[in-house]
Amino acid sequence: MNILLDPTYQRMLLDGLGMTLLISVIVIIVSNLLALPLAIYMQRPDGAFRRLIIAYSFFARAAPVLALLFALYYGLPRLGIYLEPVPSALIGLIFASTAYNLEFLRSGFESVPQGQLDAARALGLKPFAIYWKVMIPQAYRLAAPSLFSNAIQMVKGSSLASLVAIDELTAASTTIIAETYKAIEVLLVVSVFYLLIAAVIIGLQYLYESRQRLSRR
Amino acid sequence: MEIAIAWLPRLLVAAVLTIALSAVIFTLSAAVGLLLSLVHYGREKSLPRAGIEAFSAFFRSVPELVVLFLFFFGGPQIGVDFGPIGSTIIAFTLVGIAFDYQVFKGALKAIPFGQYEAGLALGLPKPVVFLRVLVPQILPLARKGWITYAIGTVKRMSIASAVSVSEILYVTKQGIAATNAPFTFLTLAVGLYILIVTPLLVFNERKPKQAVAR
Repeated sequence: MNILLDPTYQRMLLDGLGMTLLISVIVIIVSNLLALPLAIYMQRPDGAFRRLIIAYSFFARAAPVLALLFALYYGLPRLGIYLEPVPSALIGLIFASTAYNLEFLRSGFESVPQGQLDAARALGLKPFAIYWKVMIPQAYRLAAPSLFSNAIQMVKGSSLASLVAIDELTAASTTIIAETYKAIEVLLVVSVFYLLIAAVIIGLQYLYESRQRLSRR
Repeated sequence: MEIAIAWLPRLLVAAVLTIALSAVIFTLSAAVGLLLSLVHYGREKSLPRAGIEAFSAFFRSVPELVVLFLFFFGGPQIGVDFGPIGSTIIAFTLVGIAFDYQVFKGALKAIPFGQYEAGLALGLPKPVVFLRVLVPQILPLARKGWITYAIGTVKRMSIASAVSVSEILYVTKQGIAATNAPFTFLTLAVGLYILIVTPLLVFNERKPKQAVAR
């Protein structure tokens, strides 16, 4: 285990962890912020962009995340667009993650009974109030477990960024393995880091769910 | 276009490898995941179950790429060379078991425990109660989650390109390097993935033929 006491390797792993956290947090926040308006838009039966959103969602969920990352990494320069590796990977991960969150929220909205919508309209609530007071709280309650588990999926997905030249946690581990040949030690440490991140997300989920239970009383 | 036609045979071979590997991994993880969900049925707090839960939490939280590296790079360190394909099958099957266990466990919860007790009270041997009473009811309940995961398995195969398994994305990368035509190749690759996944998606959206007997 002595290589893990080496300050150079400790530094690399911690820098990698920092990058993994940065990417994960940005992807989770942005993909949730983008998914909500899209999911609300999909509630309109006559929306002009419905088909476009459906096609986007199908494509983003059918294509492997790594293929999306490669498309941005190898493809954009061909179009004359030169992005740094980090923003390029962020775009790919957000593109994939938003589609999943959109579907979870959409089915959350769809499971709110039509009668509640009619009742809210009959009470004279404005469309904004209907969403803010009636639809959104219930949709999130239903979608929460899926949204949280998708957040964990995105933390795991950030490891794929190591394959498009980003020095995050997994990339740090492969660099150290190439120098020291101590694969098992390094990868187990890296696994513990990922487990801790997942544990934090699961902790937040319990917190959210217990608050939900309290507020429903 | 000529590039695409020239590389199509290689991509098709890669697609066949992707399908074959997915099928092996999908079957193994479903079978073992189902078995594990039946271990100590009704005694969820027992030690073996705690062990299975820990196993499942580990392999669901750690990125597939890291698990794959653990076998690919870690194997030779302890004197076992699993090779690219061997590492892929072992790593993704373990991750698959971890997920499928949760899917089957969830389905099992929907079946009243009394059915199991009634089966035993009738003098049926345990394996018969599992195989003839519980499993036929779990399968339709678990189908959706299970197939969603199978779709993921096909897509996840792309990660094996990192350890030079010549599946679709690996050949795609070679093609891009050889011809510098990223969009042609990535369009083909994503098209192939979608082609493989669509039948599963369609099957998943279909309503089950019969409701669960109660």
